[in-house]
Amino acid sequence: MSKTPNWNWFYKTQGGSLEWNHPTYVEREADRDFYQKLKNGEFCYVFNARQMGKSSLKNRTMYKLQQAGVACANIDLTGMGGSEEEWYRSIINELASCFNLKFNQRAWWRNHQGLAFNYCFNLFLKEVLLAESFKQIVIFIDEIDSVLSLDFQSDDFFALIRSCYDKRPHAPEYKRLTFALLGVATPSDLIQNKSHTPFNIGQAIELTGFSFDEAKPKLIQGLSGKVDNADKVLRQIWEWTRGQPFLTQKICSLVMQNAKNRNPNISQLIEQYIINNWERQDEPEHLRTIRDRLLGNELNVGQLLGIYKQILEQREIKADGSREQTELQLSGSVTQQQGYLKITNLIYEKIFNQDWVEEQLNNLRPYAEKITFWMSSKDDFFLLYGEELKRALIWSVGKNLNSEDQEFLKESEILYKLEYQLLQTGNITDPDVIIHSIYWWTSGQKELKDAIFSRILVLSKISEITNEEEWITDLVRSHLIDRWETHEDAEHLRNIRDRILSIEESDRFWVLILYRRILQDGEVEVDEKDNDLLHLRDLGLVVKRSQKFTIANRIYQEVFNAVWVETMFPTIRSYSQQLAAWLGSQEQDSSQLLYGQELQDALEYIKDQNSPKLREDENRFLIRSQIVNQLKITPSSEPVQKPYDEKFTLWQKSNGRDRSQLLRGNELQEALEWAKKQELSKEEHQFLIKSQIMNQQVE
Amino acid sequence: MSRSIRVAQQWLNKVQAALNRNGYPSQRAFVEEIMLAKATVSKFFTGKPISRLNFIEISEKLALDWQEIGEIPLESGDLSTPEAQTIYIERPPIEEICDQEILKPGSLIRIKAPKQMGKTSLASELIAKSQKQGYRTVHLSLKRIDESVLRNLEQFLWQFCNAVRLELSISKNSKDDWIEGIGSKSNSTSYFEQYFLSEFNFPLLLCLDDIDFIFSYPVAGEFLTLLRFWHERAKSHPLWKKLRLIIVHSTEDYPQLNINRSPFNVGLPIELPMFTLDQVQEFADRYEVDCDSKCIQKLMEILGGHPALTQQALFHLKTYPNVELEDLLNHAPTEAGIYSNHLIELLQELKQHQDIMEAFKDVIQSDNSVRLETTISYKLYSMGLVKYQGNEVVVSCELYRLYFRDRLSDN
Repeated sequence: MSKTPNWNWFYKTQGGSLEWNHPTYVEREADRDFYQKLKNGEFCYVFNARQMGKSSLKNRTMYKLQQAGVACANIDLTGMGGSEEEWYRSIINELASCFNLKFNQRAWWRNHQGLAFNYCFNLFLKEVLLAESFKQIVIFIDEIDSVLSLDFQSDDFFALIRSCYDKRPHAPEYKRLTFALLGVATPSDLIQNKSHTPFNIGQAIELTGFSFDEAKPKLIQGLSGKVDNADKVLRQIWEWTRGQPFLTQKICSLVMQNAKNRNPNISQLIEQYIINNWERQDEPEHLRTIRDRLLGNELNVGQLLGIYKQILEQREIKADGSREQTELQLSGSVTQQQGYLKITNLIYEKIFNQDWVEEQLNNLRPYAEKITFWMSSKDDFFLLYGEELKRALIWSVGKNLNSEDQEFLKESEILYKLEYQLLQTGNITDPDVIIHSIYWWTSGQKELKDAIFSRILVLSKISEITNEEEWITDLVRSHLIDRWETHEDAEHLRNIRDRILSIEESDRFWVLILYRRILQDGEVEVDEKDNDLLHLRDLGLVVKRSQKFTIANRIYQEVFNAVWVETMFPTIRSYSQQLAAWLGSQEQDSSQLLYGQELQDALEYIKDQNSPKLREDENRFLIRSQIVNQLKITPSSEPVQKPYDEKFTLWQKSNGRDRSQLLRGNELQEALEWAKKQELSKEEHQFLIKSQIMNQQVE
Repeated sequence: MSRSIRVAQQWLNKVQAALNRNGYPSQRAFVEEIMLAKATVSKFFTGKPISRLNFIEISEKLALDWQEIGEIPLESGDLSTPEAQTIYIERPPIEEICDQEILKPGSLIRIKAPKQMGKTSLASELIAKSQKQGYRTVHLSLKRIDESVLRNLEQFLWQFCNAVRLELSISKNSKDDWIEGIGSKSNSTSYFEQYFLSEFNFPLLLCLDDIDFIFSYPVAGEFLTLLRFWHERAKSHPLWKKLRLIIVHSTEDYPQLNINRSPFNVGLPIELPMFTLDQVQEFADRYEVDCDSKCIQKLMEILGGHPALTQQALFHLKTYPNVELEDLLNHAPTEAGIYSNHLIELLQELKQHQDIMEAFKDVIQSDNSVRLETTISYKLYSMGLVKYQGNEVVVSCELYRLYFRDRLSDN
């Protein structure tokens, strides 16, 4: 066996990450940035497309940090457990093994039985990890986007990372603990709550393709044994890939294996081995992953391709940070450079070209969104009519449709024909205009549609119709909107009102607040498991369009308008109007807070509630009111030794989770007596209020 | 190595007695403890064949010597021949590339080819060579994992670890080592580290055969993710550099596959081509079948160098020396020929998928290569019926064209 290295296998072609000492590891700006920031104890995250070298960067940085005396753990989330318990416990198990911690897991968990797992993780960091290790610590968490498929909320996990940073001023040991997250995600995908997110205090590490100068020292080595002018060849390769790590390595290797002479034609090789038959030659998979990310979500693929096409045509467009632009960037197909989005490299541009985009757009169902919703709801609401239906039918000609599509189009056609025939009556000349107007007002809401249809059948015979659209508008206004509280046709609207009034009082206020928000903003993005939203959805008041929720139709919008919402508030809490106004002012307008007797009444009211369900917002409102009220009282100058000092401290340490520290019975009464004379911090207020609530619940 | 074993008739009573002797009040109590399917355990006690691994595990649990009580049932209908397994025809440079790869710490080889292209033979060859170098080796077909555990990740991974343990003849077997609450993936990782990786100096070559068999079961996604996780783990955990994986599969057609969380876009891919003329000649020589170059030419024309079909033809010629090659090949594309079982099986599979069958008709009726929809051409390729020429496909051998042209004609 000869001792010379086999250059054919010199480059990285197998997919997956490079080890820290791989001979072709190319150092980039991000290497210095990532290392330095972590060394300084800053929370960092590397969010980028697949196969950009995130994990390789992690391997290398981890090695360098270890050399500098930093203790590191590498948590790859894909190997962790699935349920919330398994997930946290397997991470702790992994950390214990990475840091060689001598702690008895079984006993430890037994001692902490029944506590929230997230809280346990917190305790583990403090009581075990930071207590046993006195080094600087960096915890790398890779494949972070895998939390998106967990079946429990991972918000708490990110909030916990944030809290580790927030604790630094008071608990210096936390200065030794740093996290680094890596994955294909955006901060807002991972955590929605803006006040608990770690990402606005963290450092985003930008990972770009290699620059030519960065790539040259490492990547030229293999080539120089194979071609005459390695520098020129590498530059040509770089022109094609713009330093995209996976492709650059792959093409270097292609040259090594397939160059027929010492002056290979790089463009020809790339055409032959990468671009032609790319779907078949894409091994290991790279281009197909980009394709799948571009086409993956049928509900916004049209928008994604639209933006992508625009970039293809105009060379670049201004980056605006929109969701679609971010998704395009995460696919890898486009890259942001100095505020503009560009196609990442020539290879992508040749493969995902105009023809390809056109073909994909042509394959898209023009009614993709509607059929998706229709399949899950079977609601006529989503069926097609008029022009849209005609366009869909034209599109479908000659296409090999699956049974879902066939059924959807057939149902649409049946309903549309039925309505059309129904309207060929009386003085109506153009049923299409009538149908369109009805849908414009009702968005297909069944009861409203039925009411209007019945009225039309009566009126069309006796009224003169000059303008069909105006005629319908008059009809809708005079029978439904203007007299909705009394007219026989508007029974459906009164039903909705009654159903709102029958929502339990403690929830009703918040349902209306959410409704008001949707009314004001036109559409909102809401967590689909939000209870208030479920109420509104069940009432049919709001519906989901694309990713957002909006008011279901124009009739609702006009009947249940902002003025109407305000009239609903006084029916709930004594202070609903103030609370609503305060929330409406983004919690800024302190003149809406409660003062004096008002506040006393409010606190009395809460006490009287059988099952007090104070939301965070309402809690804040009451606390803020109390603070404002107390500020007017001169604080006493007695020494501030709280009678409940110890419990309060412990409660705070648990991030407000350890309810066993809350005050009970006499203890609480005494504390409240004492607190009356004191100026309390926000946390203390919360502590006392939570204690009160708990006592009421216990009773 | 035979796949299944049963308790010999004369031992059935003793086996039953062993249950009580080891403190199990009933068969049911035993099932709960051993975490195998009820059906498997019941087969064991009634003398029906079960997989070798399960057989050993149950025997161990009952403190019985499995070699003493077990017998191998007579095989039926298996066309592969004992002689065939001892003859291995090299297909350079594949073997050398693989040998080099196995030497690399933490490496992964994917042998990917349609059915009966010689995947398992190659794997066995690589394993035999590694053994000689002192590697510890495990050749595990996922078909041998008890089907009933393929719906439960915990049970599946426990059986998987256990199967590897038995293959390595490590006697310790206690579920106490599984840590409560951390999930079975983490537990498998720890188990591998503790029992298979840290205690030995030599690398462990783990060959997982028929991995596509589990694709249709719920455990597939997590298992593939775990394999990828292990492969990546070698980059930062020195212990895992000892693991060398070989994955053998005939398709990666797995609808929910997240390829970036699977072993299928890492490691060294090996595709197996048809035999060349020279390789078929070598095959015939090694079989000691008298075949001149004209005769080899004819074999190639009909069979295209298809490994299993070629082997079967040669075996037939050797077994029945008075059969003429001409006759054999004339009858080959019919249901009276030596390939009838194989051909009928393919026909039945085709008939279950109308769209694929229609596409294949186009292929066999055309003299040129045909362009098909990606998923359909891939499926035909996985079945071994076509081979690629660029993005287009042609029928993989004349035998198939002749047979299916007859069977699929529209009249």
